[in-house]
Parts: sequence; structure tokens; C-alpha cells
Amino acid sequence: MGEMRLALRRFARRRMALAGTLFLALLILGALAAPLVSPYDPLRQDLARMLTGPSPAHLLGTDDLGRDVLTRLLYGARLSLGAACLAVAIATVAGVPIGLVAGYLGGRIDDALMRVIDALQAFPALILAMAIAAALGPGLFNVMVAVGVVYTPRFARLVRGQVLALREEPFVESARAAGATHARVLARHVLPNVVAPIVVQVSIGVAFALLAETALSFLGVGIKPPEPSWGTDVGRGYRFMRLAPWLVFMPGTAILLTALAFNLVGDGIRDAFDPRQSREG
Amino acid sequence: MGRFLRRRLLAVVPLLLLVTSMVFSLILLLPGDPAVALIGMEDASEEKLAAIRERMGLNRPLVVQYASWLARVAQGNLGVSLRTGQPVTEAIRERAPITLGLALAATAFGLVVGVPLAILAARRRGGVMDAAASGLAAFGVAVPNFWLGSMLVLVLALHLRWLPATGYVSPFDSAGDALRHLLLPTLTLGASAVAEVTRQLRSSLGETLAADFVKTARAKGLAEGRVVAKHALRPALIPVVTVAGLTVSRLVSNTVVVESIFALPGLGRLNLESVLNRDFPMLQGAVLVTVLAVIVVNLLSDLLYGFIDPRIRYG
Amino acid sequence: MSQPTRAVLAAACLAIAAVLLSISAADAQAPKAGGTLRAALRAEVSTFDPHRGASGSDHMYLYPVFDTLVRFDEKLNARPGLAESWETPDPKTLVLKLRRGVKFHDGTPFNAEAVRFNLARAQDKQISSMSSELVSVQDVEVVNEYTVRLRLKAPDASLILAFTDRAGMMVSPTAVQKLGDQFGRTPVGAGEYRMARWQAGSEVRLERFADYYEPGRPYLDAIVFKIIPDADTRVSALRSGQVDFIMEVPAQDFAGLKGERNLRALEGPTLAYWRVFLNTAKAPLERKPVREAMNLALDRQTLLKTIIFGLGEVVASPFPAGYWANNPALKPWPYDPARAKAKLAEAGLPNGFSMDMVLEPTPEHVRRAEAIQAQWGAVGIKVDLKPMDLAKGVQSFFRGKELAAANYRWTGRPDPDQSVRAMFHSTGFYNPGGLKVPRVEELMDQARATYKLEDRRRLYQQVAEVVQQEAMDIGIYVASSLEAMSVTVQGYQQNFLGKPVFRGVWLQGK
Repeated sequence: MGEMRLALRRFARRRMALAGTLFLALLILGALAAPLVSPYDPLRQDLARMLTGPSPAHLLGTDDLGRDVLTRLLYGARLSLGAACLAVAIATVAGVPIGLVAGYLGGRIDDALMRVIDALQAFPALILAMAIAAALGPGLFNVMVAVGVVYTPRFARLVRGQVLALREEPFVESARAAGATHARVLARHVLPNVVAPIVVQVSIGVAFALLAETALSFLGVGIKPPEPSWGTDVGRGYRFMRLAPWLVFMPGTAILLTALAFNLVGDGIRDAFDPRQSREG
Repeated sequence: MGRFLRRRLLAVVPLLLLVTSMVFSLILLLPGDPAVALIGMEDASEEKLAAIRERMGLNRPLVVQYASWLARVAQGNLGVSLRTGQPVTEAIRERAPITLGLALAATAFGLVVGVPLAILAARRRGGVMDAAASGLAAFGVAVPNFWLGSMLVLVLALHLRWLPATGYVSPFDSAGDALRHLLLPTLTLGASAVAEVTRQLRSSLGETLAADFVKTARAKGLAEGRVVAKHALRPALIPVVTVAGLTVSRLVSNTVVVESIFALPGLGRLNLESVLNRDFPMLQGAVLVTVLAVIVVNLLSDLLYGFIDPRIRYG
Repeated sequence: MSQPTRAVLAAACLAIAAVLLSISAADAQAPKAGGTLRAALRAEVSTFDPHRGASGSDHMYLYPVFDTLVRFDEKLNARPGLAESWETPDPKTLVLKLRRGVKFHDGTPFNAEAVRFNLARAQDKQISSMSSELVSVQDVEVVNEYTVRLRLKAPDASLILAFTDRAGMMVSPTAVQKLGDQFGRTPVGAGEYRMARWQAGSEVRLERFADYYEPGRPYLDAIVFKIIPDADTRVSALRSGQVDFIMEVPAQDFAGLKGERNLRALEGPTLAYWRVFLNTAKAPLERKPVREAMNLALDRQTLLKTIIFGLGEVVASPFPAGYWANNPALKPWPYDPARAKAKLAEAGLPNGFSMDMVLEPTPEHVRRAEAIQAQWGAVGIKVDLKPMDLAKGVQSFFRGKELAAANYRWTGRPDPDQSVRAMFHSTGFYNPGGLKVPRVEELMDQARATYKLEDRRRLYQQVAEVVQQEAMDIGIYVASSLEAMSVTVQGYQQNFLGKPVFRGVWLQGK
């Protein structure tokens, strides 16, 4: 536990990571409180007032159907962020066990599993995600699954690498000698040591998943209308960019800042637990 | 070197088999009747649908379909588009050069901007350049490139009217126009390339520059420039070449968005269109060629890596 | 120089200028031969075989290559084409008198034998996509070299206008026999232009047919169709001078194009109108008050203004104003959400109901559907939008009959009978719920059986009345056909089909 406190202190010392955490905290708060805080309903149309710029009534302007941009931004956070988190959750749930098994058991199983992982990684991320998302059809859940599948290899490799290193450690050998089953060794001794890198990867993964989901929605393969999502809103706003540039700028900046924040936080956590690796970036 | 080459090539075979079967099975996940994709809003009879199913062989067992598909692919036959009837290989052949050109331009841009930036940053650790470079790298990785592209279009094409917003002009038709049309897409795509290159090179260069053998070179009195170029750069390039694999993959992903925004008729956009059109022979072909291209580039960079660093060859 | 001299000089200059101007103005009226028209189209032609093809986007490519038996003017009235005249000696017989001296691009003469070959091919279910349009034709007889007699199973007035479309496109029999399956890529017709080159995915080049039967026509040397699916790219291609003509200009860009000095932007009515197709087999859509409520809850004027920036017209009847079958006395549904709610209560649904609606996944379609969804939501009708690509949507909604509604555009047909039968007859493909209103079917059948235009007009007007009374249609608006071109393009006329026809087009100053 002392290690945790030490890590926390190291984390707090990095300004960028702190800034990122603050931003995310505010964002998540805003997203959760969206129904209470938003000035309008995100689906409420005001056709007479479409494509108007920032004004006292609409702080960030209105979109092409007269809906309030600020409200859609807040609600969009729920959807986009939620999708990203769940996608990473899927990747974690799928990738970690694969990595554990491959790294621990080694040999043929490792070989076979890694070959499949290699094949998955050979596909450019967006192309694979697009194909899977299209195959499954539009909708939030399908996008999450697609992005999750694409990101699974990252976790699998990470965990495998950690496990390979840990496998030879004396405490593992002694645990085996004491009669513990494979499962027990994995759960009790290996896994806890892998947690930190997994957490780092989760943070970075959410950034990746967010960018992927928004790109898919932008291209029209993602979340279906009229649900507010940062990606679809940028896509729709693009067609009216000449008349209303804020429609692209607002959600796009939100995506950028959020992805940046998650990356910075992830880097911060990594540095907090292992300052020697700080230069990797 | 020969044995290394052979080993590497052999290792690719199972990868190819897995990848091709994944591409094949992916398409089978598509719901909806692909036979209908040909017809559209007009009335069509059941007989016509059945005839199309027969022609496409959609009724045979999966393994047979995969095997015959693979055989056809090996012969260079990727089928015909369900939409236009155009042979898939023809469509790919027309569109691949555009994506290739764009990717090369973006990579060149990334190197031309990223390498000097990284060198400047690494030379003075903790200095202003270093902070700026790391900031740029962080930004480049987090920026959604559809946003960046849109912003560039907004400012440079719509407001300032310096460059055209969309479209593609073949360099054979008009070199000047072609260049103008490619500038914004290259910038957009190149931004992430710059970020990657800067990030990787800066850290590896930093390590190398701090290393003992470089200190020795400096102590020997060599000029700073020579120190960097002759001693530090070569070993520092190794991780960059390794990163080439990841970069290529990411770059190819990004071309889908960039080609979409700028309406360039390239391979990335072909992937998107065939997804949206449910044109599954085209999708299979486009995805396959794209993945193969990435695998080939990775292989080449692996080989290059082995060439640069003798330790890898015999390790 | 002195004052009077200066005045004389000035007057002389003015006079010369005036003369020059009038010469050039006169010049501007007379068509000039030569030049290549570059037109940007949204979709690529699927096949140049008019009988096999089924896509509505093919027509722009087909019209220049294949002349039709009957031509249509801008208002879609029938005009003589390859058939100079036609008559019906009795209601079940149609006699076509063919034009003489017409040759196909490969030199084959056009005659009654060729017509018979073509009609047989169009009726062949194995090949043809529109054999249903000629279902009333029992047999085709060659009376003499330039006369064809069609014997019909029942009187069918829709045939004449059907012959302005694919069914009437004449292909060269020798070419078909020689080329077989390849005909779709290397077509041979009798139109003003012949196919020169087809670069798949990129462009199609058509060249002037020197032996066209009308002397001096066509004016252009060639037409090049560039395939540019993206609307923004089409617009910037026109602006930068890469193309001379574009179709389907996005509504939000139209005003901008209109203001440009060296461009001309045209806005015209079309037969195509946006509507919500209903599957009346899905409850509660079979109840008339429900359909009335849906119509009353739509604020069509606002939709017109916001979705397409006012570039169109609200519809009252299945045919737009200016079309011969239109009913000018019919008024569009009023916007009355209170009455809509009352109608729903009358139908026993005071809290409204839920339904799903299919649409195309593109942003324009989504935007329109969302606006409709919001307006219906305001009276308690909860719409679940289901965007899916067109083919899948057609399959699910029209064939599979799985969903309640579809928000698509009715693209219009050459003959009104084809439209109303398809949408409002209980057996119509576009009436998946099979809603049956016997009165409407009676009127339809009568209108098809008579060849007199005035009678048909009257009957179709009555059809429109009944359709509105029974709330069979949820029509929204006609989106005007928006096209833009360089000012050098002369002689172009928009038509009600909304599909560009380049007959009579010439280029100035090229």
C-alpha cells in the first residue's frame, strides 16, 4: 500500500497529468449531470432557429435542426465516452485472459494464440472496426464490440509480455512448489503485478476507442441517429461547415481534449509507477 | 542474411492464411441478402434473385466457398463488384496508386518535418524545443484527424480560398492542379505521421545521445553535427523502422477518413464505400489488398531492421 | 479637337458598339456546332443495356445513346420520337408508324423488324428488368417495313409514355446478336451519340453520331460524363471549371452558385416527391383517423424551408403542379397538431403509438427523417428511426414487410398509371400493406383503358381526391431539381423527370 501512496504522490507532481485528471473529472461530472445541467433537451428541434451561432439563448449555437449544441455536447459525452469505456472493457475482458494463458502456458498454445493475435493486428484498426461494425449493423453496442475486438491484441500482448517476465520470478516458482494450482498462481501472484500496466493501457485505450468510435460515427458506420454522439455531430456539421463552422469545431475540440486528457493521465500513471520508463512517451 | 530472409518469409505464410480466412469469414457476418444489393428501388423477381445467388455461389458450404475463393484470389481474380459489375482487381488497380501516392507524401512529410524536430528536441533535453516537440507529439496522437482535416478545409479552403476543398486531379492531367488538390490531404494525414516520428525518434535519439559511445565521440572532439549524424542517428533509426509497422497501419486507417473528407477516389475510400454499399466482393478485395500491403510493408521493415542491426540477424 | 467633332466621334463609337453588340447578341442565339460538354453525375451507369439495367441513375447515360419510340418534352408530354405517329384503331390495338431513314450506330437500318426484336427482348423475363411494363402486349406484328401493330390483351394507355423510357429504347439487333453479354459495355443504339469509351469508376465518353437522321444534330462533338458521387466535389469541380454541368446541387449550396457570375443555376419542379410509405398491415396504420392524424401533424411548410431551404413545393397530390395529371384544385393538408391529437383519440389512441421508420443512412435523409420524427413526436407518435442502406431497406420494407414505414422519395414514372398503380393499388409493390380502396382502383383502371388525354386527366384528378380523402398518402414536398452549369452551356432544359437530357445542347464560345 505504501507503494500506492508513493505512486500517487509522483502522479500529483506531474502537472499535465493533473490537468488531464481535472478535465476528465469535470467532463464525467458534466456528462453524468447532463439531464440536470443542460439548458434544453438534446432532441428538441427548433427548425426556425437552425444554424445560428453562439448567443445568450444558445451558448454554443444551434445545429442544422435547431438543436442546442451545448446540450448535445454534454449528452454526447455520455454516449461517446460510455461507448469508449465499454469498448475498452470488452478489450480488457477478452485480451487479459488470452495474454495470461499465452504467457503462462507458453509453447504451442502461446504460439497459436499469438498467431491469431498477430493476424488481428495486421488489420489497420479502422478498417477492421469498420468491417465488423458494418457487419453487425449500426448501433451503439455493435460499435463497441467492433472497437473492442480491434483493441484486444494490445491487451493480450501487454499482459503476455508481463507474464513472460514474471514467470521466471522466484516467488512464482515457490508458489508452485508449495502446491498452488496454475489458476491460483495466476490469480494470486501474477495478476496483481500486472494490474498497473493494465490500468495504464486502459487509459490510453479509452483515448483510442474514443477516436475510433467518433471516426466511425463520422463516416456513417457508427451510432445511429438521432442520438447525440460527438462523432455523428461532427459528421453532420461538416456538410454545413460553410454556414456554421462551430458545428464541427465544438464536438471535434471536445474529442481532442478528452483523448488528450486520457493519454496524459495514462502517461502519468505509468510514470508514477515506474519513473524509469518516463522517456518512452 | 539468406537464412534470416527465408525464416522471415516462411513465418508470414501462416499469418497470410489466418488473415485471408478472417477476411473471408468477416463478409459472411453481413446480414441482409446480398443478392438484393444489385437491384435497388426497382421491382425485381424472385427468379432474378435466385439466378444471382447461383452465379455468386452463395448456396454452397462455407469451407468450399473459402477454398474456391482463395484459389481464385491466388490467380488474381477477386470477383466483380455487386454494384457496377466492374472487376474488383480493376477497381483496386485504379484506386491504389492514389492512396499510395498520398501515403508516401504523408510519410515524406512526416520525416521531413519530424526528423529535424526530433533532433532539435533531443539535443537540448528539457529545453523549449523538447517541450514543444513532446506537446506536438501528444497533440498529434490525440487529434481526431477528421477534425483536423475539417479545420484545415475551413480555414484554408473556405475562408482564405487558397486551396480547393475537395476533389482529385490526376497528375497526368494537370500537375499544378493535382498538387493543389493533394496539399490539404497530405497535411492532414502527415500530421499524425509527424507526431509518430517525432515521438519515437526523440526518445530513442535522446537515449542514444546520452549514451557512452556518443560521449566518447564528443570527447574526441568531433563537431556536434557529425556526432549526431554519424553515431547517434543510425542506431536511433532502429526503433523508427520498427515503428514503421505501426505507423503504416495507422496511416492506412487514417487514409479512410482523409480520402472521405477530401473526396479522393483511393483505396481507403473504396473500403468505406463497399461497407456502406454492402458490396461484399469489393469489400473482401479491398480489405484483403489493404491488409496485404500492410503486411508487406511490415515484412520489408523487418528485413530492413535486420539489415541495419546485425544483432537481429543472428539473434 | 473641337467640341462638335468630339460629339460626332462619340456618337460614332456608340453606334459601332451598338452594332457589334447586336451582332454578338444575334450570334448568341444561333446554336454553334462543336465542343465537348463535361457533365458531372452522381452515380455511375450500371449497364448500357437498357433492357437489363434497373437503376434510375442510368437514364442520363442512356438518353444520348438510345433514341426512344416516343420522346417526352419538359412537361413529360408525349412527342414523336422514332415513331412518327401512333394510333389506336380499336382500344386493343396500337399501331406505330416509324420514322424513315434512321440508322443505328453500326449502320443497321431501323425498321419494324428492329422494333419487334426490341419489344420481344423487353418482354423477355429472363433478360428484362421491366417486362411488367409491357405485360398488356400480346403480340407485335410487322405490317410493313415502317409500320408495327401491337395487339393488346386489354386497353392500355400507359404504353405510349412507357415508350419514352427503357421499354421504348431501341437497340441494334445485329449488335445484340454479335456482342451478346458484352452489349452492356459497348452499346449500339440510334441516338445522337455513340459510346466511345467507358473508364469504369471514372468517366464515360460519348461521341457525336455523324449519321444521325436530323441534319446538323447533335451540335456537340462529344459528351463526357464524369462520375463524382460526392456533392461537394461536384460543386467545386464546377466552380473550378473542371466540368461544365452538375446535377443534384445540395440545397445549401444553391444560393451561392446562383450568385456566381459565370455560372447559371436552375431550379425546376419534378415528379419526384418525398413521402412516407406506409405498411398498413402494421397496426394502427390501417385505421384512417391515424393516417389523417399523421398528415395533420406535419408542418410541411417549415420542413420545406428548413430541410431544403425552400427549394421546392409542398405537395397536395401525387403529381406536381404543371404536370398534366395534376389536380390544381386540391389543397395540401393543413398543419393542425391539435386536430391530429383529436384524430388519434378518435382512433382510440389518446396517448399516441410507436412505430419504426426506414430511411437511407446518408446525412441528408437522416436530417429530414429526424425533423419528421420530432413533429410526429409532438402529437404522441413515437418514431424509431432505422437507417439502412437502400437495398436492405427495400428488402425489409417492401418485400419482407417487416416494418411500419419508410421515408423515401417517389422518383416518378413516365406514365401516371404506373405511379398510382404501384403506390395506391392493393397489389402495388409500393403498397406493402395492401391497403385497398375499391373506388381508387376503379378510377385507375378506367384511366388506363382510355386513350383520350382529357379523360385520363379528369380521372387522375379524381384519384388524387380519393387518395387525400382516404389519407392513403403521406406526401411531404417536391424537392426541386437543382442543377448548375457554366454560362457557356446553351439550349439546356430541365424536365419533370429530374433526369438531365442533353438533346439540343450546344456550347458557346469554346
